[in-house]
Amino acid sequence: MRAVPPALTAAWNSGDFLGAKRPIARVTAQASRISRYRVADNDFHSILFRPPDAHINRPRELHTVKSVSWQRSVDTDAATCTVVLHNLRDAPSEEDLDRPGYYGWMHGRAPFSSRWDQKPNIHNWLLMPDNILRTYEGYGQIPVEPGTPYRDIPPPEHDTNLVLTGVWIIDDIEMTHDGQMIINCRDLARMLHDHHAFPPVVPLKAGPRNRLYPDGKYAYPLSFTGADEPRGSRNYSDYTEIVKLLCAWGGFYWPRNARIRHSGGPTWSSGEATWYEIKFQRDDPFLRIGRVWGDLEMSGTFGPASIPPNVFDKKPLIDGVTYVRDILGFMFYVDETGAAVFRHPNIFQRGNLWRTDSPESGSRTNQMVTIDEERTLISLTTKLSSRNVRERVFVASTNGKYGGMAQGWNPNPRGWRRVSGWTDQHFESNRECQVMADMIALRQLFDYRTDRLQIPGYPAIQIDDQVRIMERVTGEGYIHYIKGITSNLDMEEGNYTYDLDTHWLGDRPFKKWAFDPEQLSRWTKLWLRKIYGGSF
Amino acid sequence: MAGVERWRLHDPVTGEQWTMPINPREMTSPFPEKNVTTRVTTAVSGRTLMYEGNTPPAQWQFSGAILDAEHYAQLKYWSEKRNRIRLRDHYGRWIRIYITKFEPTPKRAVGKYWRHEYTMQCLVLSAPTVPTVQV
Repeated sequence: MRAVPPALTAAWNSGDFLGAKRPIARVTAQASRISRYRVADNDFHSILFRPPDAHINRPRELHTVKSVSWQRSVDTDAATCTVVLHNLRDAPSEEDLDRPGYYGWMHGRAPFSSRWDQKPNIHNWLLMPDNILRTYEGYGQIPVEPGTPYRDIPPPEHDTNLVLTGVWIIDDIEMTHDGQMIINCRDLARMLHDHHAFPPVVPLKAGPRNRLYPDGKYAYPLSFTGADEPRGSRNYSDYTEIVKLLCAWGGFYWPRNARIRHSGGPTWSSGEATWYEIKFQRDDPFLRIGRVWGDLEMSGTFGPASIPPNVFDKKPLIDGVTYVRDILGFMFYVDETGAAVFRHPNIFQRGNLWRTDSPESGSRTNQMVTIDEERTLISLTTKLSSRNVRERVFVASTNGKYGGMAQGWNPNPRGWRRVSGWTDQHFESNRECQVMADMIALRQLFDYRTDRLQIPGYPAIQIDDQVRIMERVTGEGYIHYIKGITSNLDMEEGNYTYDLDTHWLGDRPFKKWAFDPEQLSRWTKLWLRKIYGGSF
Repeated sequence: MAGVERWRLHDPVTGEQWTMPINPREMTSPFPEKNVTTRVTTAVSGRTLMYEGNTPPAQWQFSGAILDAEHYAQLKYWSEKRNRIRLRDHYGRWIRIYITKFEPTPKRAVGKYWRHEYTMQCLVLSAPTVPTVQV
């Protein structure tokens, strides 16, 4: 759940998205540049930030956007976005109706541009694959006088009616002869897909200051030593450090004195600087200098066994992140500001993580958005399914020495005797197996009731949020967890909606928590208490 | 009482101007229609959500009589322009338009060989609401 301007929340609650409060999307494009930072004999990369003395390409607003739609989910590695705009710009005088093809990357610069009397413009080279788009959405726009030149209109970063809803990397662009341009993008997780654990992304040689190999061995091929290696040779102490390293190599590095440019140029009359400085409070001790642009929760543990090179070698960096994510039961996604998020899913405590636009500013809140049938719920489909229900769940080690069993959660017990099980060589105690069995049973409960609903677009809602849904006909009144959001904003049709994919969190919303924690084993309660303090 | 203001066309690119010898007889409203869609929330006692999109240009039409060849030729000439032009109507309003179609229909009239009825269709890009001509 994120902070949005009060005017946006007021507009969402009003239900009148007319006139000065109609749906607005503003999009900027920026030539991307991955900066390299040499840190303790490591090469980290940043696509968002540039060194203080480096030139920063200014984002340029695209003024003929028709629609913006994006999809974000906890179940996918990378969010996707499609921006549709008209490939033209109004003519500077009454002489022509418009300037067709204006946003083409080589408009006015091709050898044959003179055939149509095309002139170069400031948007040349922008709408090309691998460049960055930023989308800003909301209700209404800072009012400007008719006829105000584009350069004097407050940039979207300063428009208090809008919020940043995504930082995207252009995958491909389709242009049609009748003036449409369709831009398909993915979020910054694309960098982890496209960059592989191979030099030069992973440094070939580690210097003496490299934490990975303090004895000066090669950093490549990448591997991580576990508790089975001699004491002192371990090169990490927390699973999350692996993810930090992969992200820092992959382009998510956040250097000291980071600067980011907004799209308002020097001629913008506000008098403010044309860039923002994005400071953080302290360096990450594992990376030594700087941090990862993101919210990464420390797991508090490391592996009993080493993670061999074949887990990472020549594979996308995202594979390494996924490997660690699956061990921990964490989630990974990239949020609206382009920050990497790696943490426990928000299912163990009532409420939400409260975010502003800096990854360092998180806190927890009991607030959650209520989606009410009388005010904001446009449509709802609820599905009940027992396909994943099991009366018993067992987890064991492959050598048979350790095991645990949990009772499955079934709101409709009818005497069935369905069993599911999981065995893995990494389990080394009954306690671990019991916690895993409890977690599997909990996940199966969540899949029992899932919703798909539509509401007016509201950027305060994020994936991994909890919301309360109230609807009479389906008997919905439970707290739900948002797995996925599909946003559609079309300014020509005047449409802005969110389609939410959710699952419930159990049938006891008025107890201390949505599910009854007393049904969990004492080892699981201990584990959750360690993570969340005295709430369990 | 002031006389009737003749309609006038002005091309901002070439600077040309032309005053119609006869004003059109009829015209539709030059003002656009707001682009509003509605949804309703699911409750029986729910409410209507209203969304507004970009306002498209108004489709405007005016029609009248043509009595001579010069009138016909001028209307045809102005309809073939490929840029925005301005029209001043009998209320003194300057309306920015783009003419999309000129439809003349010949009419039989003794002594008036070029007698036609015509319809002109335009897209209205801006239309002020305050007339400037006082009657």
